[in-house]
Amino acid sequence: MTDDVRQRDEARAAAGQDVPPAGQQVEAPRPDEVDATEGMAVESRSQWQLFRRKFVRHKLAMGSLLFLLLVSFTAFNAEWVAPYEYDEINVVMRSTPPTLEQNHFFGTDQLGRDYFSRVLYGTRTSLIAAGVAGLIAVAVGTAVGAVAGFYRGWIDSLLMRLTDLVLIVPLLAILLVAATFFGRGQPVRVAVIIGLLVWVSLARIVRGVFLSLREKEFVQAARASGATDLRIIFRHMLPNTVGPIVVNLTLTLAAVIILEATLAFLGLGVNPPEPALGLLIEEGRSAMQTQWWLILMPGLTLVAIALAINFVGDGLRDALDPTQRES
Amino acid sequence: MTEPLLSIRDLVTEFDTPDGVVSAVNGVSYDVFPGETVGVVGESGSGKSVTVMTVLGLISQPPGRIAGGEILLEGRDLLRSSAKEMRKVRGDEIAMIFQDPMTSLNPVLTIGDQLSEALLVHNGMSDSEARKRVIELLELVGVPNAEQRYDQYPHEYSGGMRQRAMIAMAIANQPKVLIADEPTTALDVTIQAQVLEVLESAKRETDAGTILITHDLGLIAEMADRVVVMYGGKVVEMGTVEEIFHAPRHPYTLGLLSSLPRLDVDLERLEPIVGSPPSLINLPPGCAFHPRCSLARGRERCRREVPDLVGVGDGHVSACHYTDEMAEEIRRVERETGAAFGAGGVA
Repeated sequence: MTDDVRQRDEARAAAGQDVPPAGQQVEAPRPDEVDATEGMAVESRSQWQLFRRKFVRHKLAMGSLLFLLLVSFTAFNAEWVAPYEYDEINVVMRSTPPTLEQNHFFGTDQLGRDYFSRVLYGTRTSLIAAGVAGLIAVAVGTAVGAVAGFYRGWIDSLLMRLTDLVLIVPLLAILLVAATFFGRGQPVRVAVIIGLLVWVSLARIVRGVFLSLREKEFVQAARASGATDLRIIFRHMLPNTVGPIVVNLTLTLAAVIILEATLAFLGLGVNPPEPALGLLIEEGRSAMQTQWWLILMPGLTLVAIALAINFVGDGLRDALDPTQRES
Repeated sequence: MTEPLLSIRDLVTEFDTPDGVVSAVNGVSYDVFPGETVGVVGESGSGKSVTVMTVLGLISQPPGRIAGGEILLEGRDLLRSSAKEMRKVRGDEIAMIFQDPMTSLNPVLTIGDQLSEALLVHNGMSDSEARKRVIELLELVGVPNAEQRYDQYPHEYSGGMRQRAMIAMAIANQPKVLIADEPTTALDVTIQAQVLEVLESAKRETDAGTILITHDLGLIAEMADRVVVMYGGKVVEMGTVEEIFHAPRHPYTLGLLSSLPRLDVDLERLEPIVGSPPSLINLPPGCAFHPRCSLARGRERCRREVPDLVGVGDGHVSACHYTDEMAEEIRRVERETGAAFGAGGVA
């Protein structure tokens, strides 16, 4: 036994570890005794599982998601949750600041209508609008981007010039005109018009991803095994684009909610007394000095929803990025 | 002699680039017979891969352009086939093993899904039939626990395993022609040997004519029956593996052989080929190899005349004006490097 081995053993003994008796070789398993399949049965952890794990650990995103779920749930069940009807007038309780008394959490307006109920119904309108517009934006944006990026050439030029066109027109001006003509008192129609104008950024992103994906070897390999264009697009390329699409969708949703509120603020969308967040903000604007809650409550709700959607988007982006370490 | 399975005739593939027209493949002809392995060697940019990509119809046009030639698969001209017909050929009659198993598998699909693709596309198999067949294939190429491995994603496979999966994917439909484009380049040496074995057994299983593209001469010596040597988008020499390795009749082939250390030949020093591969936009006039050729010695003919492929033996062809001087050249190289090419020069 050499000196340094003895020193090591002494050190181990001092540390209370087992020391193999001097001179006795620790028996190593002979290579042929080791089960060759041992350690090969890897526990399968799919992309999806990895993604879910990362997302669940993203506290801000998870919190925001729960908040959004809660808000959506209460808004869509407003009939049961809201303490009053949105147009129920109570002259005795006019212009009451937020109070727990008679459940006027957000106070009442000049007509004594419960503001919490009005914000709740307004949120529902906003969420429906966002959903419809988001769906349309994703459908149109993905289709345009995918076709442009996959086929390139003249069809790409055509579609991209079209997106440029949509991008350069002043959004609000077009929306105002379109909403005035087609969307008076029809929040869903307004949402459709919004959707038809906000797909452009998504189309550009999808096109970019497709342009890079189509040069990937696995796409060549799929082609070499005889897959059709449609099969390549839907089975090989779109699943690889889900990440950017989802992330961009959340950003679009937040923007759409604000946009819808802007239109409602300008008097387009719903017919009073039906509430919308933007409309409520507009109503509160006139009494900002005296009845602060009338602008603050719907405003805060709007900001909270838009922020939460953005946070969820952040979380999704981090979770979908395989190079991002878990933090 | 049997009919060739795949016959490439005077193929010309060009690419339009901002700098000019790149003639990546410039009149290439070679045949693949049933059950044989044709090794295609050459430096990067010699047109090896572009040739087989053209065969598979995978050249994107534009910027690519197939300017001439024929590709006959059992007598049918693939270049005149419709896109739909080509889709039936790809993955069914001609299949390809790609170079880099890390990037040739789709990261978001399970291995099983990807391997069953060719089966579902071409054979109209049901999902459960395809699953059974894929598991068989995975076992064939030596993927352990094939049943579990079927549902795993590419990132759960090691490099060697992925290449096995790629081979399994290529032989799924018992192709007539198997194209392996540098199948081992991205793998480390120990895995290379295993993958080659798998490739051999896959070949035996399907009895496919195989085109093996590589710049690894060792791989060629091991696997190929015949060798095609390409330079600057042209075939410069073609012959059996013995002829190419022991009695090369083109100075470029000799250059390749003497620039590589070999186990079977004792070399005292390596002799590199001077210079770099030619620009395909602006090929040297005459013989494209002449600026780098040790045999040309500034001769007018090399600079003026494009040499034709001429027979120098049974099926052995070479595109050099001075093939008859090769015996002398081999002796010179043998003297200088201490190599012995076995045949003692050209008989």
